[in-house]
Amino acid sequence: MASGRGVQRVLAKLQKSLDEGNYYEAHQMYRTLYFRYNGQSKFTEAIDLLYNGSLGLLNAKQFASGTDLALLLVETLDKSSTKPSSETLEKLGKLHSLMEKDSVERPTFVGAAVRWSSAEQKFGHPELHKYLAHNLWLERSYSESRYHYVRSNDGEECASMLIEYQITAGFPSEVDLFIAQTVMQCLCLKNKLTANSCFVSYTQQHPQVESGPPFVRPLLNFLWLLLLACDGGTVAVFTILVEQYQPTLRRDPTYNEYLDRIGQLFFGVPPPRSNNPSGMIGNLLSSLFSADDEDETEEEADVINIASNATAFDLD
Amino acid sequence: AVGSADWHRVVPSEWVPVISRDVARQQRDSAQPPFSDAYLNGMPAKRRKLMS
Repeated sequence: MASGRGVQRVLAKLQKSLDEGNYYEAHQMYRTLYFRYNGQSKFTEAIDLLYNGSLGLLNAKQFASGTDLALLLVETLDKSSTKPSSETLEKLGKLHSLMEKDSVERPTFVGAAVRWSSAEQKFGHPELHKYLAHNLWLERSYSESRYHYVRSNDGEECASMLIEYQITAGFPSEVDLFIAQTVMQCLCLKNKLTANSCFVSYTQQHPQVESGPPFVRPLLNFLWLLLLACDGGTVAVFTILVEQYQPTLRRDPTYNEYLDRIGQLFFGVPPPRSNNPSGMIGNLLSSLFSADDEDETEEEADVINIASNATAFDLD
Repeated sequence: AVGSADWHRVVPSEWVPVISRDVARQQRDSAQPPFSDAYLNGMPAKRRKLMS
């Protein structure tokens, strides 16, 4: 196979191409070196090379080739069974921030990176989600940003983003709904810490929320008490809360479906008798728990998610 | 209703005035106006399709 000297020669040529702005050539040489390292199972070297190459090309606005190397990077992390570390997650976040907002490949990169990071955390590593959410917030892709924040460990930043989103794009009648939707989704993902810190920050900092607790709006009191009950509350307390706040909870028909799930996760409520996930609830939950599936059609995604859901629900 | 005040004894006592006040308040609540796109975007895809 290739000798160390061969690699050195290509590296020297590569630097020359970069210096001269021959990005097409540089990209090809990165790929050549990557295949050599890969063939020799030199994964650490390959990972460094691909990161530096992707970073350099993206910084030079060579979006297609930069993203191509970023995809190879994730592939290599996966193949070499590299465990997520703060350093690597930050690097992936950095590459994501440099990619074009409307790039076709960026969602593929996000999906692959999240999948790789979910070896130990089933919905993806919260630190990676935080970087993705932060980048998307800066781009004002609020809805996508929210998706990643509910899977992150940064409830305070999630609240700041959510307040900005609510004020700029929501209706005044939705001040309490925005935080309710987010808190309940976090709880469905068993992400109680983020649910809690997001709720506290949102209610303290949103200019249209009066001071509390207790609050003027019943829905905010419901969330406050629900979060308290999640810490060792009984199923009886949970049931009473859900009953007494029904008029409010029916403002958004998804809330009672989230609460079914929250009842199962935090209060040991048994799942509904028909355990058939093909109905509305199955579909609703499966699309909430799905990984990034933007490159699949919805129908395909639903089938895959229902299948993977059955296991995801049982593993606690 | 049967046992309508039973819940008073189940929840922590300091919750009772909060919940009682909210029960009364909810009777006066008006219907929810249509949702903004920003809010609808937070719903799972299937539900979003049904709502809009």
